[in-house]
Formats: sequence, C-alpha cells, structure tokens
Amino acid sequence: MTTATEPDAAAAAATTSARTFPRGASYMEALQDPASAFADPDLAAAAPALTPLGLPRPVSGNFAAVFRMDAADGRAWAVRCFTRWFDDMGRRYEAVDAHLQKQRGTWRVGFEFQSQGVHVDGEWYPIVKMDWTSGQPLLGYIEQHLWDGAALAYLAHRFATLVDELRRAGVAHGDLQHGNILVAPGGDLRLVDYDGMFVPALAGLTGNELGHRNYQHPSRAPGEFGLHIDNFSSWVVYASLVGLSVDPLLWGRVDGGDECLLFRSQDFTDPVHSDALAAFESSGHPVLADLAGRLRSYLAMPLASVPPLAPDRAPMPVLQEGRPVDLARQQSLMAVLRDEAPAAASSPLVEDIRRPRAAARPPVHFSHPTTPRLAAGAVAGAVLLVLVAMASAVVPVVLGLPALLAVTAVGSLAAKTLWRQSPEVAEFQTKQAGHADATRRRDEAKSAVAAVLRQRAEVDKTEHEALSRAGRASEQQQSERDAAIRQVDDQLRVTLTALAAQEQELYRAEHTALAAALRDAQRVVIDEDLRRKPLSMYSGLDDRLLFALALDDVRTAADFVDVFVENEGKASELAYLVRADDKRVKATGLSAAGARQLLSWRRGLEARLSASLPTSLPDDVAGQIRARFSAPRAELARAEGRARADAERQADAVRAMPVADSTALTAAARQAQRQAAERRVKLDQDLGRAKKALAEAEWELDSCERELDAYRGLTFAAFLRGIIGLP
Amino acid sequence: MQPDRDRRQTGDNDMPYTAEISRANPTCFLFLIDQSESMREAIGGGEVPMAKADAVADAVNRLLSELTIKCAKEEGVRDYFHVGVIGYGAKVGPAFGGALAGHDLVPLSHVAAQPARLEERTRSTRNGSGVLTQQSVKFPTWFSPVAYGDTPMCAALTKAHDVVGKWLAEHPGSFPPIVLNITDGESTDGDPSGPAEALRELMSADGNSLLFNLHVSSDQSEPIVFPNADRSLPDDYARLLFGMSSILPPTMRTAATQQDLALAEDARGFVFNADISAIPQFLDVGTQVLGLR
Repeated sequence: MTTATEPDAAAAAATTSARTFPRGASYMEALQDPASAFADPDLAAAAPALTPLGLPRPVSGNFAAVFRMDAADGRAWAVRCFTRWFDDMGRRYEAVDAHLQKQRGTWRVGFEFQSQGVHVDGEWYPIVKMDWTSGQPLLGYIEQHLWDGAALAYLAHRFATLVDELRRAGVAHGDLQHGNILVAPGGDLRLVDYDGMFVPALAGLTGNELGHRNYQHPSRAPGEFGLHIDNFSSWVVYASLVGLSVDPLLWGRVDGGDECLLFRSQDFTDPVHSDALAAFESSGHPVLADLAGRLRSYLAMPLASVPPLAPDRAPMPVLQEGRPVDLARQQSLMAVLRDEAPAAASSPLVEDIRRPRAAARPPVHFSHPTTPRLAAGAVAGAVLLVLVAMASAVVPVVLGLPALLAVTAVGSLAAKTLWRQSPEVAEFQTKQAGHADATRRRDEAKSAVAAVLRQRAEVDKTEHEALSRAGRASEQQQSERDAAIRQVDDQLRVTLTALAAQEQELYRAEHTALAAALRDAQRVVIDEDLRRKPLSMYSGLDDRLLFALALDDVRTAADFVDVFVENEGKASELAYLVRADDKRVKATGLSAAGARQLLSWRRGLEARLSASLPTSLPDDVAGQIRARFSAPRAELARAEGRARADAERQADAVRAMPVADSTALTAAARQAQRQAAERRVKLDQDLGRAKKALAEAEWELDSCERELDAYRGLTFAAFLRGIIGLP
Repeated sequence: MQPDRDRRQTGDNDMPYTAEISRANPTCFLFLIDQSESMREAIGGGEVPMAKADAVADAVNRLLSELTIKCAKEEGVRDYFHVGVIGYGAKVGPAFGGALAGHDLVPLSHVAAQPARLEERTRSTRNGSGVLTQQSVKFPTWFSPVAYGDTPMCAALTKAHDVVGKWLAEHPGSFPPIVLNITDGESTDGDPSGPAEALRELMSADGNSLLFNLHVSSDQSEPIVFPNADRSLPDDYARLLFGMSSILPPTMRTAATQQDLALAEDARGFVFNADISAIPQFLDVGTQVLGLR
C-alpha cells in the first residue's frame, strides 16, 4: 500500500493518479475474447484459464490481476494486468529486464513488458507477459511438508542461498512474501512479481510499494528503496521456515498461513507482546531462540541497518557482472534503420508544379458583312434560289423534282464550301490540330511521370524487401539466439534442479544422522541416570529376587528395558525382565501386575529425566557428523558452480556469435538503403522534370481547349443564318 | 482464545477500524436494497435511460464480481468477506437468487462459485484498430432488480440488525460489519432513525457497525457526496438519512481521496441524489477496508 506521508512518497503517489486503470472485472470481461484484447500474437491466439463458471480466472495481487493464458502448442504465460499504476513502471520494468538479462539465476522467471498490451473499454493498457512457471506456492508447499522437517530445513537453506544470490546480483525483490515465492519440483525456488524490484540502474528512485505488511520492518518508509529493502523480510521468511522445520506445531499455535508465515505486522510493531516470538524463545531450541533474538534486535534498529540474510555454509559461485551488452536487439534494428531513412516524401523536387490556368477567350463569330467573298456567295445563293423557284413553276412536275434536288444540292454544296473556306473555320481547324498535338504531348508527359513513379515504387519495393529481409533474418537470428540461450537456461535449470534434489537428499540424510546422534546422546544421559537407580530403590522386590536378578546382571533400572509375562493368570505364570540385549531374565515370584508396576516405575524415572535431556548435540559431535556430509556437499556445490560457469560460457558463446552476423546484416541492409536513397534522389529529379513537363503540357492543352471553346458557335447553321441575315 | 490472539486480531486497542482482515478474521458486507415501486423510474445521468432498480442491481452485482476477483488467489477465492443482499419492498428478505436463495450472509467463495445467472451481454467497444465491434460478454449476476410495493425501511434495518447481531456473535474480533442501504424514497413504515441507531450500536472489539446510506434520484440535480454537515442538505428527508449514516473510517476516506474526492475528517457514508455514476463510487468507497493482499 502506498500512503503519502513523506515528500518522496507523495511524489510517487502523485504519479499514480495520472491515469485510472481498469478493475479486475473489466479485465475479466475483456479477456473473454483474447483475440481482440491482446496485441501480442501469442496471447491473442491463446485461451485464458477459466473458473468453473467459464470466466477467465484471475489471481489478484497488490498491483495487478494475473491471468494464465494457454497456447494450443502447450506454452503458457502469466499475464499481469495492472489495476494500479505508477507512471515510471514501464521504465522500471525495462531496467529490471535489462539487469536480469545478465543474471543466470534460476529464481527468475522470463517476462516481457508490453506498454500497449491489452485493450479494455476502448483503450490500451500495459501488461507484463511472464513465462508460466510450474511451482507450488510457498504456503501450499509448507502445509504439504509440515511434518517433513528436513524438507523445510532444506527450503530455509535454499532460501538463504537465494537471498544471498540476489544481493550479490545487486537485486532486491521489494516484496518477499509467501505469495511471491514458488517452490519448483526438486526444492528450487522461483520468485515472481517484479513490480517493486530494485536493480542498480534504479538507484536514486523511490520505491513504489511497501511490500506485504506481515513481512515488513516497521521502519520501512514509503518510498524507501535500495538493495537493503529485503533485509528484514528475508529474515522473517527464513526464521519461519527454520522454526517450522524444528517445530511444526508452531503452525497451528500462531495460526500460521493466514496471510503470513509465522509472523504478522503486530509481532513487529509490538514485539513485547508477540506470541510468535515468545513461542520461538520458549521452544527450548537454541536456534529458534537465536532467531527470535535476532528479529528482536533488528526491530530495534532502522531497516537500513538490518544485516542481510547470508547462508553460513555452501560457498557460492560468484556471479560475473559486466557481460557485453546486446547492441543489436531485434526490436532496435528496424527502428535504427527507419530513423536513418531520408525523408523522401518532403523533397521539394516532387512537388506539383502548378501554373495559373489560361483565362477563357471571348467567343469568335462569323464576320459576313465585312467579307467580299461572303457577299459574293450571298448573291450567288440568292440567284440560285430565284432560279429554283422559277424552274419549279415552269418545268413539269416529273422532270421538276430531280432538277430541284440537283439545284438544291449544288446550292448547298456551294454554301458549305463557302462556309468551309471562311477564315474563322480555317482558323478553327488549325487550332483543332494544335489541340490534338497538345493532347498527345500531355499524354506523353503523363506516361513519362507514371514511368518515373513506377521506377520509384520499384526502388521503394526493392529497398523494403532488402530491409525486411535483413529484419527477418535478424529477427530469425535473434529468435534463434534467444532460443539457444533459453535452451542453455533450461539445461542449467534441469541440472540445478537435479543437483538441488541431490542436495535435499543429502540434507535429509544429515538431518537423520543428527537426529539419531541426538537420540543416542539422550540415551547415554538416561542410561547413566538409570544406572544410579538400583532396583532396591523400588519397594516391590524382595531381597531374594534382587539377588537372583543381580546374578543375571540386572541390578539397576538401566539394566532392563521391558517386562514379559508367560502363562499369565495360570498357575505356571512366570514374569521375566527383558534386558537391553533382548535376553529374558526370570523374575521368580513376581506377579504379572508386579512386573508391570516395575516397568512403569522405570518409565516414570525416564520421564522425569526428559526435561533435563540435551536438546542439541555438543558442537564437536554435531561437527563430526556435519563433516561427514561436507565433502559430498562441497562436491555438489562445485558441480553447481561448474554448471553455472558452463551455462555462462555457452550463453556468452551464443551471444558472441550472432552479433557479427547481425552487423553484417545491418551493413547489407544499410547498403541497400543507401543505393535506394541514391536512386531515389535521381528519380526524384527525373520526376520533377517529368512533372514540370506534364504541367506545361497540361497548360498548353488547357489553353487550346479554351481557344477551341471560342469557336463552338461556328456551325454551318450559324453560317447560313448569317448569310440570310438572321441573328 | 488466548488474550494475545484476541489482541492480534482486533488490531490496535485505541484505534477502531484497524482490525486486519484475513480468512481467519473476515468481515461482512450487507446490502439493503429498496425494491419499492418507484425504483422503476429512470435514474439521473447516463446516456440511455435506465430504471433505478436496474442501475442499482447492475452496480451491486458488479461490485460482488469485483470483490470475488479482489479476493481471488492461486487456490481459489479467499473468504475475507461474508456478503448478503436484503431487499425491501413488497416483502423484506434475502434477495440472492439461484443456489444462494434464502441465505442472509454467505462466505465470498460461495458467492464466487454460485451466481444466480451468467448473463450474456453485448457490449460495443472499439477494438485495437479502432473499429467499433460488438462483443458478447458473460456477466455474472446474483440477484435481479425488483420494483414492487412500499418502502419498509424500518423492517429492513431491523432485519439487518438480526443478521449483523448473529454474525457478530460468531466474529467478535472482526473489522466491524458494514451495512450499505440503497434507497430512493421515504420510509413507509415509520421513522427509520431508531432502528438505524440500534444497528450502529452493534459492535465488535474493533468498533461499531457501520451504516452507509445511498439515495438514488430520478432528478438531474447534482449529487451530494459524503457530506460532513447537514446544513447544505436540501430537505428534512436528506437530513434524516444523513443523521442515520456513520462517519467514514480513515481507510475509506483515503480511498475517496484516491478518487479525487476531498473529504472532511467527519465525512459521513452518505450520498444524496446519486446519479448512475455516483452509485459505484459510493459502493467502492464504502467497501474499502484494510489492505488485502
């Protein structure tokens, strides 16, 4: 929870209000249709895990609802959909990603931050797509192994190792708690939820969460951030695991597992009244008392002073820092190339060349009255028409019609010839030929432009192909490289898991040996004491029987372990005492009831001793036993170191190899791009010229058209009307 | 129980409403829903006219869904809350439908597992490419809107008193029960102040039960949200409901602040003239309890 009480926390809180995020129910609705909800093709094609009602099944946390998505090919992801948000979360995730890329720890789970990941109610929201990890949540694991002290002790050891590994890697989780720790098969641990993670690149920022309340130091301030933020919570987890490995009854006694392990926030804010700490102290087990004492002393200091949890054994391989950074990541390649591409579209050469259109011309008319040829034509026409009229009156009708037709035809031909020979019509015809010419020139210019454009498109296409070839090849290589590294990781994980299983076995054997040794030590104390209790102390045996038993070496309570009665209730009833070596010794005269009483006397003596029995082994004895296991354990540690180093080398080799290739690819793509750019410059010049020519042709054509428009009135009918003198 | 354990569960002795909610120490939400005739009228705000009864049922059903999601963990829905819905109109009684019918309070995991219906609703949303698409969405509902009869608010508060009293007997150390009363009109069976006060007097070791009132309105006047004094209220009816409402504990005030509402320290859990968008806000603020993980 983030509550604003300090200046930096207030600043952090201020950035949260910038945008309201969907609630869980909205995500649940959106994910009912993954294809429209997700941008990521994997997720869009995957199906959400469902509740029994058939709705997407969420797991809710402090910042996010997490949904499991299953692909048809068996891959699965956990998708974090944020319900709360801090504006710099994306940046933080990038920094965490960059830093974790350099770690080979098996605890980390692969993830990808997508700023536009899920589409809800018309808007895009970020997601984190995490690889699904098959681990059991810590609480479930504890409940299942509550009576398996060795398993829990091993878990504690593994956890301490993990915390140490994180610290050495410069990483603090920020919210170490039962819900974020998964136990993988073999006892290896995985951490999930990196929302509040610290990595060195984030130094100087404030924290965005306080972590689970039942794991936090009371002094952890809102915004407190740094490598130290896990220091207290890791001790809380460790103490709980160790406590349970020693005394599983603690689980029930403090209501363990109810949003906590064994401790709650109240135990930290008010340690004086903490029943969990008291239970540790009154357990009589020195390790638990020591842990409770540590927790108390840590509570008395600020969080920054709490020492980190460090395993007291198992030398850790030092993780190497400062590996070569991946320069040519697949996403960046295309972007780099795109950024450098010339901005051809804005080149002034390809701008349209426009000219003002020619103004329309006033229409042209026939100029009859002023033209002598036209006047002569008019006279000839009139004479002809008079002749026709006269002929039709005189000549008989049979002859008259063809004559009339002939005369009319001759007349109209003459008139048409006159019309054609008029200077306006001749002018018009010239203009028409000019127009046809201009049209042809315009069409040529047009196809010249089209040709240049085609060439340019060709260049673009070639370039695009070259680039996407390079991109594809690079993506291909990148994904091959990723796959290879993943394979190395997976291989390492398998090896480490196997080693962890062996180590757990070793741990169990050591635990068993120590327990057996402790039992033996307790036995020695009991025997010593019982040897000081002669049978004569017990009032139920007469002297004769005591004497007889002494002859069989049964003199003290230590000398027998059980009683045995033969033919009980019959006349031949006979009681025996059973010695430690299983030999039965006759106790003539002792009744069955008397024998049982004797045994319960002995057991009473033993019970009285139980409070004073040793609860732990002397250091040297324990040390000897531990020493027996140290060699195989060291061997395992060496094997782990070797496995990690091998994986490291393999991963480095994978990384080293494709970098050169992708540089070559980049070079090839750049070359193609450069050529295309050169071609484009030239084509753009051509295009400019072609467009200019086209614009001129268009202008010519345009003015031709306008001139022709002016002659539209020069028809034969208009000519005739002019001859007759009609308007 | 050991004394330490009592102390642990009830939080800080001096500060009420600080008990931590866990599966072992859950709290309860009881919704009282006015089902009188007038709830058929359309509510203010919103693009499409919607009956008050429908708007309230939608908002409460959605809140129930939201609560089940908030408490959903790896192994299933955790019973941080016990939840009940009491309707009052022609009759007063539990309003859950389906398998939960007849139950007053049920653990949240049961709520999650047994909605009365899974409605197929059609929503138009713009998809990633900006195209308007129709999407069919499954929407769980636990009770249906009803609008028939009078407004027997006294009887409803008395019923709530029974339910909460019984629950407190079993959960004496819990975060105090929260009763959210949603109504649109005046009580028809007498002055509800008395039963309301009796209800608020029920207490756990962590403080008095909380009664919040939401008045939904058909008219378009501006909602009055979480007031701290009755001076600004328009009429006696509003002042009556104000007087019946508990002061918001700090966690809820903080939640309201995060929704950009500036509230006075003595702001009451009361909203008057709520329009369609004020209902979920009221429900959201009124159910904010100590940080769940």
